[in-house]
Amino acid sequence: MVSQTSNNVKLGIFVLSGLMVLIMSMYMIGRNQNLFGSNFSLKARFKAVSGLTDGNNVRFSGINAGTVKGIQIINDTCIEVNMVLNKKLQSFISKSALAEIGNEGLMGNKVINLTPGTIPASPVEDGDMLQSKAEVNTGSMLETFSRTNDNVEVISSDLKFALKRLNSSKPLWEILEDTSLSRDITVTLRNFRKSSESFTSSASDLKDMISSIKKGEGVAGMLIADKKEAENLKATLEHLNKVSANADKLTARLDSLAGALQQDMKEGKGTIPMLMKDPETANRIQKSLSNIEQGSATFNEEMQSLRQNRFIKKYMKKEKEAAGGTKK
Amino acid sequence: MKLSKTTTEVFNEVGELTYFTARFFREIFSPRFEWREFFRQCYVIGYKSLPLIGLTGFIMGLVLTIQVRPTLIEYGVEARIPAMMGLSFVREIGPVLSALIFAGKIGSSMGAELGSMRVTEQIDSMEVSGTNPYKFLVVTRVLAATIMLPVLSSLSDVIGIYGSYVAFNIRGAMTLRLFISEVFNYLKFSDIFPAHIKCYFFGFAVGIIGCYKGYFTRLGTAGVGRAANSAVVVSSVLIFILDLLVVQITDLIGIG
Repeated sequence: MVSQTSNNVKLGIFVLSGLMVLIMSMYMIGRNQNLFGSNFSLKARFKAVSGLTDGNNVRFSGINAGTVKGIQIINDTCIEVNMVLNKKLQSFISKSALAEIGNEGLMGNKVINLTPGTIPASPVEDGDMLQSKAEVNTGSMLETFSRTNDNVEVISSDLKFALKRLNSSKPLWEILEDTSLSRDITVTLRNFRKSSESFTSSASDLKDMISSIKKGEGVAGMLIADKKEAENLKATLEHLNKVSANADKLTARLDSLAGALQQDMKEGKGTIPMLMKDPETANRIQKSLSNIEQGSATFNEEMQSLRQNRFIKKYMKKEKEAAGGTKK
Repeated sequence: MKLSKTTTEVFNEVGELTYFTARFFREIFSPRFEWREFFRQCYVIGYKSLPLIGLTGFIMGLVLTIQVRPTLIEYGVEARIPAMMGLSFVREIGPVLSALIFAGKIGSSMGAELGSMRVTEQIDSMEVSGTNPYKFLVVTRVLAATIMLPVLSSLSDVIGIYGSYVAFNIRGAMTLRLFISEVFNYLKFSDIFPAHIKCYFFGFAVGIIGCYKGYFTRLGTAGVGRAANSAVVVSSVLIFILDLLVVQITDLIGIG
């Protein structure tokens, strides 16, 4: 009888453990699908759900928040997805949150990702409709990727060609291998810096000059800035113009005079041509000149002899002393 | 139309089995249920089978994981081993493996026990003494088998998944907590319910075939061995046939 009871106890433990396993596994699955505990529902409408089914996970910022509870087709471009979410997360999900259909990994199940909205809003309420975001389509992604790839191919082949040319270019390598070049460049740069400095200073000088001209200082400034002066200048210029016109006339007259003179010269009329052309007159003049020379020479001799005279010496002395006495 | 001897025998046996099953349902609802014998049978059939079924489940989980691992690594989905093993154990390996071991252990023992009682005319003497041998021997055994197999199968699932965890940690590293949460991440009610329900059918099939083969043992002691043997063979085949039916039905209703 004792063994019977102990057998029954063992049997009881065995059966209960089996039941426990069954109940525990059901509870675990139910918890995963949010069947137990308090929860709330949300809706979102998509253009296409790309294979989403009942029971797929809903994640809020990466946390498992609930499951898909139902999918209804509203019309050919609108499908409504019903989600059941854990009540604990309700206060964190704002009304501006976005729903997006994504993948668990590259080949995994579909999943709805809820991302917090950028606009601050109040927390969601039971049965709210969330805004949906278009899914990142793997197909279009790959399409873009393939286009990019093509471009990269073209670029790389061009680059290859360019590099090949650069590699085979002798002058470039000569430049690169020239050790004195760097020194030269340094010197050049230094000079360049110096000249740019001096350029700066001259530019500032020029600036000062221009500003002083603007202010009306100096001749140029006066000319540019002073209206009255400008009018004067104008009048002067007009005057100059007249003068030059007069000078024109004068030269014309001189010209005609010279013409007449030339004519006279040719014909031998008047005083000057006669003087210039008559040899007798020339001789006379020459005689007169030599006579004058002779006369002046004799005058010189007379004066020398006069200086040697005593009386005159005395007189000269007296005159000198008188001049010195008045000075003292 | 003249049927061959074997064909006639098959039909005869199917007919007899149907009567036998019908009688089970008739007797189970008639009063005076043998509780004490039922619990004793539950203990023998259920509790005593646990070590064997647990061991096979553990080894199965271990071996399958080790074998499947290199292929999954090749595809880069090593992290899905818990999900895969959990799903395959709960849906198929647990129930079918337990049922087959159960058929080997319990079906043969039923066939041999009832067969020897038949050939030693104990069953006949029970009838003479006024005890209903069907009620006492068959109903309790079949019912115990029907109820015990789902329990055994659930425990086998757990042990098998634990075996898988052990095998995973021979070369990889994953905490038991993560392993279990990964297993349940991919399980649904539609995985557990059909698997659990088909265990009742498996248990019933093993019990009823074992009892039938033993109850109608003929031709002396040689017949006992034959009864035990055919009980195992028929119930094993029946388990697979039932499995096929269940999977088609669940697939049809869309809960697969």
